[in-house]
Amino acid sequence: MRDGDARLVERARAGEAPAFEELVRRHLRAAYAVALAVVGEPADAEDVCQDAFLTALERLEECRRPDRFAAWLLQIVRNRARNLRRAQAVRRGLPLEHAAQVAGRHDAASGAERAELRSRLLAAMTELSVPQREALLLHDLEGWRHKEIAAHLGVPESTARAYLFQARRKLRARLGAELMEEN
Amino acid sequence: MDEHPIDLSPLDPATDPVRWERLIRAITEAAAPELARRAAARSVMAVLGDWLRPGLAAGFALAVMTALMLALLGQGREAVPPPMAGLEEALELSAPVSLWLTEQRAPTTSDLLLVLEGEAP
Repeated sequence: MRDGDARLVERARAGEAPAFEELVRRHLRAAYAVALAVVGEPADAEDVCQDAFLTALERLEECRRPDRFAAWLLQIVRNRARNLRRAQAVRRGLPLEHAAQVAGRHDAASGAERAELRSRLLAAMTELSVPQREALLLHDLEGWRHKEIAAHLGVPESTARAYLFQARRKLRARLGAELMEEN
Repeated sequence: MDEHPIDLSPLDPATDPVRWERLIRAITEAAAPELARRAAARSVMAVLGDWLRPGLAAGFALAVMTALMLALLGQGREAVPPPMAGLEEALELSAPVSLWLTEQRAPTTSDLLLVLEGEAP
């Protein structure tokens, strides 16, 4: 039988590596989506995820509702991502838009076309607000429901729907007919 | 409302399984020292627990027994008559003598006469 998050957290607290790995596998995609929504660059999102999971492990006793581990983890992810973004802005003296321009550099292994599309998507996403990006990635990439996104963002469900609507509209306007055809 | 999802699959990290597994491995490997520390702390606690549990149980039992004994002794003590009364009876002292003793004073002449009279047949 598949352990629930609460049981996995309990086992990870006891130092069981397989339990921690299961938590990583179960929640990494959502963590990645949130991180990407904030930092805008896949490689940075991966760094944020790694950092956030390690922080979560170190602070596992602070997770008061182990059955809601995902929500707790994503808060850590979001905070870490914001910190990284702030640090990068200070270090580079560049706006977030720059991140999308360099995003494609990490895609050498992928096909050129896919890398190009990824690059364009990332660039288009810089025009969205962070909540819009989170709503878009969690819904259209992760398959979260409006209710779950609303709970994660701490907003009413109608607001979460509005974020998603605005995000899609802006993205389509930016990417144009080409992306519509892809769909 | 714009209800049509946008294809974000190019952003899906899991579409590159090698890279995805590498990320998972990087996280779990980085977490290994903390997990080992937790496992070690857990085993120390378990050993201590194995030792402490019987000790605590024995201590508790001892404490309960001591409390019971003290309670019983306390009850017994209340039932014992005042020591002076026992002493008087044991020494078969007459009432006037015991009066001097309890009042802790030297007998007067009349006390002595009273005792002597009392002992006379």
